[in-house]
Amino acid sequence: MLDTRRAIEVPEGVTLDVRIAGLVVRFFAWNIDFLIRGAIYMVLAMSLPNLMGRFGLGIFLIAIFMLEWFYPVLFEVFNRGATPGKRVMGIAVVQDNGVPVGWSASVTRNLLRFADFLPVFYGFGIASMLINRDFKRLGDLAAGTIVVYRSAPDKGSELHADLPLESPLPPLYPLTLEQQRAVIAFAERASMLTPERTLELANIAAPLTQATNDTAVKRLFAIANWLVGRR
Amino acid sequence: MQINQLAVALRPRNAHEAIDLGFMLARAYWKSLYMIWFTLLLPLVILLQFLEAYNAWIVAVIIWWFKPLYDRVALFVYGRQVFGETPTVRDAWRAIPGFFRTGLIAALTYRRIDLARSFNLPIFQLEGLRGATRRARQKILNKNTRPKAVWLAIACIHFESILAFSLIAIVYLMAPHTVQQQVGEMLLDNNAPLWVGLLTNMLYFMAISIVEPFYVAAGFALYLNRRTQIEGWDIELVFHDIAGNIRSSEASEAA
Repeated sequence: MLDTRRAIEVPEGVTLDVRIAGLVVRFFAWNIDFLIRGAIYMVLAMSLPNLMGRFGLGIFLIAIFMLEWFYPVLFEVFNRGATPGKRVMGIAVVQDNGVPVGWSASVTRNLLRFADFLPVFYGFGIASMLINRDFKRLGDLAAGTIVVYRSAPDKGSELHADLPLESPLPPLYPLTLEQQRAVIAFAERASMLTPERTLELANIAAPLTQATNDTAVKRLFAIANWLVGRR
Repeated sequence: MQINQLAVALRPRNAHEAIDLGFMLARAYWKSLYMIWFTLLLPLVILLQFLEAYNAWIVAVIIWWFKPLYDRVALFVYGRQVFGETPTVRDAWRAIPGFFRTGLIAALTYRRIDLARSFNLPIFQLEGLRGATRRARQKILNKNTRPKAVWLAIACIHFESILAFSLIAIVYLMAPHTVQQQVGEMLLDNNAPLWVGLLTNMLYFMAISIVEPFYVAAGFALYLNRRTQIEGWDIELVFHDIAGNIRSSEASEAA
């Protein structure tokens, strides 16, 4: 089965599900960061030389050097693996054994941008990310890092808010976790499905509801309500 | 559709994840794709090189213009592969007449600039819809996914140009030191000798051959993801499981 999800065993022995972020979303994140740095350069270029003359120009050049090399490193280390661009796209860098990215890994992956950048505009980086099964560019290969999607923030009380209300009903048969999830997903996504398709799906699960058509849909909603803890 | 035979894990993903899945799809089936891709398309592109003597730029534009045709070759392969079937070159050869019944003429003319091309292609090629039904179908599928498909195209345009320039740059960097400067000047010269245009255009086609399969696969994955969303494919699979489990446990109790 092809999937972007990977199970990583972290040093503590726990298995962690991560969803690898690919080339396209990382390209968007890089562009956002590029625009941010570009805006900073523009402000500095217009202000520093005017304020301080040749000394200001020197400061400006040092600022470019520092920002180009340390902008990603500092954000990755202090902002849980995400530069502002990555944050907007909902992705972050982690080590490929699941632990947060540290100084050495972040410095390695970002210093090696010069290799990824060759021969023009990240040509090798793009080629590497197309070939590697975990979308690693050369810097990621050297540093042992991957870029993953952050899990969606917990919605708290809003959880299952779009579940259609129905008086809760315990399922007649034991359901596995995956099956419980499917019943809940059916109830939550029913509004996105066509009415015919809703009936069709409900009829597939007829042995569970002991009913067909509209009654089956209603009973599945009732079971979903029971499963999310409404009693 | 026999969704229980799909070779991709079904779950509703966000658009970016669906695109990533498409890239994985392209990577997983690169062998059968390139076998068919180059057997069918390389002769065509080589044939185009005879125009090189006339004008190198025209050849580049024609190579670019025929992309919707290449897309159909790629989707033919992926459409079979996701159902666990590995098409042979012979299968692809037989499928060629079918490509012309997938709205190819429109795709090569007034629909050539559609930026959501690879996302809409499955509607034409795999569902085979036409006219009003096709438009209605496209409208439903495009809703809230089209912008992502357009952004995908914008990203892929960048990847393709970067790789094309990278390949040309590698030729320059690998040229012997004594002639490197001349090679560099010729690559930029409009009145360069014939072989320069030939080389750069073949390198351009190589860049297309690298990126276009990923673009088509990602559009296809977006399409599959959208259908999973609005048709609950992932739910259907598990519901069949539930029904099967209950039936078999009842059967064993009765026995």
